[in-house]
Amino acid sequence: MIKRFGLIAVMLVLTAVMILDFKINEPFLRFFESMVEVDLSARSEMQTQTIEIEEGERFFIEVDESRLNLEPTKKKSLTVTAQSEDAVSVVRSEDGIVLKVLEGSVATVSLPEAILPQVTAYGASVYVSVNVAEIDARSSYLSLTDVKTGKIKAADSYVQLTNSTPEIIETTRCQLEIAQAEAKKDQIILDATETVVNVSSVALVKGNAQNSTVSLEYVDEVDLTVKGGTLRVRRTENNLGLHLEGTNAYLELGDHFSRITAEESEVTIKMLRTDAELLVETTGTEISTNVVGAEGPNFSYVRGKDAKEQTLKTQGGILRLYSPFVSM
Amino acid sequence: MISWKLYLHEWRENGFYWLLMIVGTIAVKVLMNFGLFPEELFSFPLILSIFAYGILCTSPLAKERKNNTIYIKKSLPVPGYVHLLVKIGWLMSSYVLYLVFWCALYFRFIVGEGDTVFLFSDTGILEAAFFLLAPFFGIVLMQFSYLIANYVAKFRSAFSFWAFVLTFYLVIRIVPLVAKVFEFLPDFAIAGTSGSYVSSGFILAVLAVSVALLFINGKLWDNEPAI
Repeated sequence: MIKRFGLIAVMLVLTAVMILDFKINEPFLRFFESMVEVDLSARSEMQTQTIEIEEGERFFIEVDESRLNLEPTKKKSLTVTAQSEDAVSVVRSEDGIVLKVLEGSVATVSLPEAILPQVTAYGASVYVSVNVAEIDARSSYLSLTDVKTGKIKAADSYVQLTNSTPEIIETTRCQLEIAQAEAKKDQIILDATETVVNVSSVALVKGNAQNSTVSLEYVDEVDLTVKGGTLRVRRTENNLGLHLEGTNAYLELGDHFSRITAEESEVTIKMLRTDAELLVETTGTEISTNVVGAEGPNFSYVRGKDAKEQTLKTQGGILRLYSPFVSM
Repeated sequence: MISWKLYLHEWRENGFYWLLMIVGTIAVKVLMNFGLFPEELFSFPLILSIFAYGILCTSPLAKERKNNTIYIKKSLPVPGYVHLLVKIGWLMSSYVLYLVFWCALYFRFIVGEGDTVFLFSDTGILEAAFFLLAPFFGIVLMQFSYLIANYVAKFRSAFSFWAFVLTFYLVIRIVPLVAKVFEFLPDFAIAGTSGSYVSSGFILAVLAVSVALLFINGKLWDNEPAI
């Protein structure tokens, strides 16, 4: 009896302490602070300066071997935070304002919505979560989150886009990772050269890829010209429009609409649905298939009444067409 | 050896639920192959299994009482924490087996064909610590809440939930203090971030608190009040 009531009394006291503690302190915050440690030493001596900028005035940022964060702010003024005032320099000219982040510095620029900066980065780490006019990165790490405007040009860089749909992305010898976190309703326009491109969960991907390694997953619509390199398309939802030249391609086809032309390419197609329809026109193409109903170099494979039209025109190269449901 | 026999006993007693999950998972896969279940929901059995295991955390304890096997267990020359550890061991090992089965069955969906598979990334120790420690701590906490509720005769479920909340609060207050003791140990860098680390002291503190709670649970098991 004593144990029971003693326990209940202790628990009541503890409950009161807990409620007070949650009101006064932040126990969860303390708990997570003890788990994750962030090196704040670099931020401890940060200095903030405000730059006066008029609406419509052009704003340029140059980053060299440094780290730059571009953040949105609801304030009307533009602020730059860096470890010292010497870490950044501001030059005003007729063209606009030029902000230079000096070598080895860490700077955070808080931008009002109306100002679209033009960023030039070399050997830098750039984290962007505001709309931009243009970014030109070389040998840099570029991370874009929620960026909806602008032109991205990158060379010899790692580019990561999360929930971002800039107007065009031009990459040369880059690694490009694109993922849409929110509802996939935006389009990506690519111009990739010698780039590794990984795209997932995007509404539309269109453009060109030359000598690149392109991988597309959960993409609603594709309209891509691929020259050289490799292409891998999996789990596409609707329309697949491809023009391949000298490409090694692996495509998974469901019952979505597809129009593919291939010249001197090595194309492997996996038919995910046995009731899908694929019309194939080939000239001088080596073919291997396990699909029932497929015959000869110019064959059409027809199943199901409701299947959407899928056409494939190949000229030269190799075509492998197979169904996972039929043994080879 | 007696622990092994107790472990096998757990399989005999609760293996049915495990088997049920396996059968359910296979059924979903078969339906998927026939196009009767959307492929996008391939993780549905896994999510369901997490809920099922949440319930299984304390149901083996309740079952012992219901079947009166608790008294046979108590008559064995084994301390209480061993019994509880065996139950934790069964829960965790059977779930790992289920996970392996699930991964094998849905391998095509988890990783793409031809993709390279990494069991652990460069922060593998960190992942392993969290994936093992978090369930261990969770089960110990739930066992404590269940056992402490034996001290009251009525409203045991509500009391158990109350005890769970309070114990969790105490743990989040104690862990940062204990973590400070191990502050001298090296931290684990979090991949993809710059300058963010998980304190190894934190991991050790959670482990220490979990083990302490396990021994307290053992005492509660041994000295269960007669109500």
